[in-house]
Amino acid sequence: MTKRILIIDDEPDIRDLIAQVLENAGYKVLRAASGQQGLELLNTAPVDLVILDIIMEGMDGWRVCECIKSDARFSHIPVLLVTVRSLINEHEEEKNRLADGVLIKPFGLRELQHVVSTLTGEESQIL
Amino acid sequence: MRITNPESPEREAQVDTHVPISQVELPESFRDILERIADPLFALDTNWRFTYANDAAARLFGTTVEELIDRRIWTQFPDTVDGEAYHHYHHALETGMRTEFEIYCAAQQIHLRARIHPSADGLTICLTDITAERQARLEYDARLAEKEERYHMVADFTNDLEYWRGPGGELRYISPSCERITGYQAAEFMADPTLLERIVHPDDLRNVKYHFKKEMITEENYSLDFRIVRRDGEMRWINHVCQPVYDEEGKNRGRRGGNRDITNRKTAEAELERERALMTAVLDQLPVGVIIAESPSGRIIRGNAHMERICRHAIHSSEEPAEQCNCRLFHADGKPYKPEELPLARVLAGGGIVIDEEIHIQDGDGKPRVILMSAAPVCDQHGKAISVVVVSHDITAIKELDNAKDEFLAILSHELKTPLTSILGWSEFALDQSSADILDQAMAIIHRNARRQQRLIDELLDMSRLQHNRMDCVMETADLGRLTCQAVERAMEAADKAGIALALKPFGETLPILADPRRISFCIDHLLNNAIKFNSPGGKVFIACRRERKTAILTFRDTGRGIAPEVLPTVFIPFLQLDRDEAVGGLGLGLAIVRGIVDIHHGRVTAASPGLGQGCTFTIELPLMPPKESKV
Repeated sequence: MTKRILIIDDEPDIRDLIAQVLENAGYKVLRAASGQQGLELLNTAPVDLVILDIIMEGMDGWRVCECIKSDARFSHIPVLLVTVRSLINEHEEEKNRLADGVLIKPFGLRELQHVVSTLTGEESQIL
Repeated sequence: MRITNPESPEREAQVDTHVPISQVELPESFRDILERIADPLFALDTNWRFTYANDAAARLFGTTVEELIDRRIWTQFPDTVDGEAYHHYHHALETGMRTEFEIYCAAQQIHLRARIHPSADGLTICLTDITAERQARLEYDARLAEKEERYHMVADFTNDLEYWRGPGGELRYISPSCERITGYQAAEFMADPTLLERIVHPDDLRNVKYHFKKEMITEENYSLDFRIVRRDGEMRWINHVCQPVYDEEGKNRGRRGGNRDITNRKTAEAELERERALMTAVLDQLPVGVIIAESPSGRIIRGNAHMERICRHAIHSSEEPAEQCNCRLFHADGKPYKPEELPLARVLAGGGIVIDEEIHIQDGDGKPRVILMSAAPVCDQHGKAISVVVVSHDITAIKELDNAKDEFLAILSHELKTPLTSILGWSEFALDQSSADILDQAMAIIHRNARRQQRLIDELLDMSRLQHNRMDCVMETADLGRLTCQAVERAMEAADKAGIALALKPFGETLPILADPRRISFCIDHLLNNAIKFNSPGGKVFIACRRERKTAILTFRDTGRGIAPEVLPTVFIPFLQLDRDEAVGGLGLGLAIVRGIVDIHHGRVTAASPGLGQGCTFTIELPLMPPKESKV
């Protein structure tokens, strides 16, 4: 069964890049330009993975992750945080721990696919 | 008593009418009493004849009572005529006054006290042997004289001005050292009782007079500091001590005054006071908090104003117990620090020195502050700690700057890596793609993101150039009105997209300025873009140019989100835009660059806002060119 992935990122170029790569790999992709929009989408369609940018206008990625993980309906869905921050402080590390994985920008496309297939519990569908 | 001188003939003529005491009828019992008196007693009539003498008197005169009666005393003892007794007896008889005198009896080798009681009948004389009493008194006087001599010997060689005033206040002695201290000689003081007071400094005279008066009527020891004016006009400080002097019998013999020249000490004290004042001034001017505590008590003996601000209470050398006197500080959560949590207590306990320990406190306004605290003992020449100096450096601002730097670096990293992620990702993705559409899309995205990075780098370089006064400007005559119109045209598309209306108020004349059009256009573009970006769909931006005397004024008033009053003063400060809107992107250096460019053009840029949600107005003022030079 095709896995469904929700991408929440306010940077359209990056959101489209991830979407293109994953669609080519055989995933079904949902796109949201903000945290609020992402949570609304989550209510309408079941997903197997959420890819979440941290730095966003309005609700940031950590807040969105909190909402997902504290909601019994979605708490089982793995969350992959995407961030440019490689040097993180203790406070941020604590917040990152709520998610199931962290991907540091800029990332290689194979790395992206590998993390996604691991988190969705599938073998890589591109290789 | 042998009296050998003949009596004077004049005296003889006056004394003819006497009734001898032997003829006076005395009761037997009374005579008995008289006979038993051990002291010699005799009576003379007005013709100097013995009318009575007891046995003791007869023994004293070396004869018998019978031999004496009716004999004239001056005939019996011619040696005494015109002697001391002779004059006393005559004086007593003439004046009728009782007289008492002392006389030496060579024959008996005894000292006698004679009491003469005159009456109408003559004189009654009672003699008392005072040889022993007199000997004791002489010995006492000798001892006293010896003591006085010793006092003088000491006083004569003392450096202090010593004097001795008698019980009546009269000056009895003053040491020669008075000349060294006052410039006046001892003889001058002895001759002029007022000199001692006259050399007192006028400002101290009242106090000294009061003291001198008081010391004469009380028996206390006194000490007083006052100034004198020497004969040569020089001022000296004197420490005066005085005490009552008693003899062995406890009798007051006056007062002894010691006067020490303490000018050097007073000068040193004044110098010390100046040093203290200087130290206080220096301590209070120091940009760090300082306290000095006694060791081992921990009692705080000095503290400066800066430390008081850090501690949020006054520091003084109070008499409080040490543990209460400890410098009170509060944790960020408001709980008071325990003494052992602070470096002072540890150094007092012998813990060596503490250097730059970071402690977090709450200041008087409840705000958290970061303090670097160092403490070190101050030791005496034997290496024993006598006090501890604690220096506290408030590094809150440095910490904030440090945080701002970290934040800025994080933003810079984000702003550079975001387009980089697109560039790398899309180029990697395009490599495996053959579709022309995908390739076109990828190329467009890569180009757009490369441009975005270039803008960021330009922004950073511009900021760096401005900070080092190295921004190049190519000055030429330009029309601020035209530059504004061009900028509005450039912004139209973005404004339309965002649903913002731009309203440019037309301005008839030119506004000639000497400027680098590219740089000024950057400023106008930036303020205009901000007015669009920080606005909501349906919002408006009013752009207006005007002339005011020799200044061209350009304003941008928007209906956007406005600026909070506390943020307003910092909007033009680089790297401080901590509340920068991350959704809008950029490094938040734009306004700082605008101000730098306007400064180079000798102009001014200001921001105003009634508050959050109420829009804001940015104004650029630039000097107009004089009319003759301005040919646009």
